[in-house]
Amino acid sequence: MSKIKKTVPIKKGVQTKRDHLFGFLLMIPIIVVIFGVMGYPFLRAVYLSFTDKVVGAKETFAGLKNYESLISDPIYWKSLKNTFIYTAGCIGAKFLLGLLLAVILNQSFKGKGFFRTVLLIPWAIPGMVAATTWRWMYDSTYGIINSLLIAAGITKVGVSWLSDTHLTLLSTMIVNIWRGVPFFMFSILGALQTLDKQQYEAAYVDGAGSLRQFWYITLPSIAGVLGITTLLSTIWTFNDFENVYLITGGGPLYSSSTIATYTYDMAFIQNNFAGALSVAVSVVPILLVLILIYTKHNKEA
Amino acid sequence: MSKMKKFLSCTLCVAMIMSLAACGSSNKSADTSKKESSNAGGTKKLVFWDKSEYVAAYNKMMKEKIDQFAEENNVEVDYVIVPSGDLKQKLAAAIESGNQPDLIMGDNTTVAEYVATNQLAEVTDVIDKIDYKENAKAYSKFDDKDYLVPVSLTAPGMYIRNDKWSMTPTTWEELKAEAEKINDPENGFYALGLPLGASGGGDAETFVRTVILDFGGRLVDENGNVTANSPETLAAMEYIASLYEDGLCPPDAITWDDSANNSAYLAGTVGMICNSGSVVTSMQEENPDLLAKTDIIQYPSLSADSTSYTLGGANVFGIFETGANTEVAKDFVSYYFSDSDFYNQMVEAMGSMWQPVIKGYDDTDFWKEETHSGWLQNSMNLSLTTYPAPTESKAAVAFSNQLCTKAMQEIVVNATEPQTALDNLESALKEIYK
Repeated sequence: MSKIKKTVPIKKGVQTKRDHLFGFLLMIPIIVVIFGVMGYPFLRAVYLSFTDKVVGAKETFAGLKNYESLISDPIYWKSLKNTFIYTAGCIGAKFLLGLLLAVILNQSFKGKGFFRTVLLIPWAIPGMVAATTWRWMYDSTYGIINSLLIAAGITKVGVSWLSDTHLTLLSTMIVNIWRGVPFFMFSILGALQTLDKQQYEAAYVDGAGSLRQFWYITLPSIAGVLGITTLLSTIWTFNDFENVYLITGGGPLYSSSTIATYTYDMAFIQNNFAGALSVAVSVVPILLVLILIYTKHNKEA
Repeated sequence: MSKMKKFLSCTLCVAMIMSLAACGSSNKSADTSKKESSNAGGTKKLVFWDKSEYVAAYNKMMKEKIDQFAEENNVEVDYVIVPSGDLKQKLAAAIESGNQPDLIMGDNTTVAEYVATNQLAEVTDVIDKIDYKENAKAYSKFDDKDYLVPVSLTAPGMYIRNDKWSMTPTTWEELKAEAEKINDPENGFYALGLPLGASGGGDAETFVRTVILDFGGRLVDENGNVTANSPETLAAMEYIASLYEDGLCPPDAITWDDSANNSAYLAGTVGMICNSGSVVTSMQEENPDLLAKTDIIQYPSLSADSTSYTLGGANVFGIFETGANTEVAKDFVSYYFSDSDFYNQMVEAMGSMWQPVIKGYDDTDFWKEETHSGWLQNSMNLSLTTYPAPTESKAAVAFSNQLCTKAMQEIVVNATEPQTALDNLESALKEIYK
């Protein structure tokens, strides 16, 4: 017996070390793949942002020149500001609308299945199709939105959704919200359906009304899902290129330009690759913070 | 059991690592074997990235031609059709990974961008064998050397609705005066469909530069000096701005890309556009009634006795010096132009979108037809979009940055004083030409 007692702890220690080594060995292929397809290109992009790189030519190190140019570039600051407005506005609206629709769809009513399907459509439509369709709908001359506004007597002249610099960013945000609400709605709906009905019955017996039940039972219970959905959507919205580029191209005069569209503009219209990379790299710390929050949140969950 | 599990997992793990390494080396060996086989077996290779054209017949004919070349010359051909809008992005990736094609076809401004980075081969030997028209030959030059092989001119024309316009404007003032008469925004009809979006396309920039030239302004002179800040340029910019400020163009026109004016004209919401022959092709297929109501006219001028400029581009071959098969690409281009009857058939198959660059094919029945003759006439007066600046990378950069379009947007969108916008334009040009 005593022999056994002595040997067991030693074996356990050896086992743990071996397990760690074995686990690490198993991870090597995926580490190699991830570094190859993501890590190396990312590090190279960071390096190139400190050079004078143009396509097809050997780069030379330029130090902080590209970043200095960015600091004095008003379009960069405008694009950064627009990106924050776009992200915050879209996430706020998607959160509220998604939550509202999820609560409604969590009730029992006739035709619920139909509404669920219809509300999923914006999420299912390819981004390019959605953006192109909305661009037509926004058109100042033959767009359906202006036709409806004029027919309803709300305005006499068509609204310049795509050319009024005060409206262009809003126009792109509306489409992002329209497309993104179903993601919030279905994520929240999934969480709502796991809630125990007995809690509500108990709260009802204790005299809590619908609002108090929602505030003290529903919200805390789905807080985890709300957090993760918001974080993921924030990362996607922050990086959204397709929607803005296809609807306004970031214009006119960069009025709806975001970091993603400005990077493209610099790279492929101004042929300034190194400059474009410095724009893209400049927002990495922001994304990194979001990813860290996401990882921490996941760990806690 | 547990030992067995570990053994299997370890084996799997090692196998995965080995397979990854093998993947890398197998690609390498495949590439090497390709090169070796082409050298040893005598089979040459040609990678050709062609643009996808509005007219489907074009790509079919080009494919047939290159297949014929491949068969006659024992060449293995990789013919890839790339949408024009994707060419720059795809080429950037290909060049950076060292997999650039041997030959590309594109518009002259896009292809010329690769001369500046020493990607393209000098093609004087190819150009010398082709009997080019004088104005077409100008599209081959870059820094006084031949780098591009012009295939067709793509002259723009002015489309006007003959059921709306009571006269054919011959001066810019006449155009505006008549536009004011027929403009009817309340019923969704605008007299002019002139794009002013800085989308990367060339329509807006070309139009603004055309009007500046007509008014006597010169952005950059023939010696490469920035001469933009003149009363003539200012007058041209004020004129263009007035077309938007007076509501003669749809409000969204300031964000339009190169295809939006086509769509607006085809939808019947504008009474005039400046475009290549592509809209004629679309009308022939989709809306013959509208085609019957359309006249193609030459660009107006400042006054009856002043010069009217027509600026436009060309489709060109670009041969990559950094590609693996530069000489084969040159052979194919020479082969393509050696059969001039085929060349003419291809030009005619494009409707009016293409005009010939070689001599001897202007006097055919095709170009005598009323639908086509105007386009040929426009191509005869065609000048480079960077005219009169020397054809060099600075001119290409100034054009692709759409500086004139952005200056006009400043006036129209931000209500900037025209002189201030012109000062900014001059500064931006000087920054490029310093």
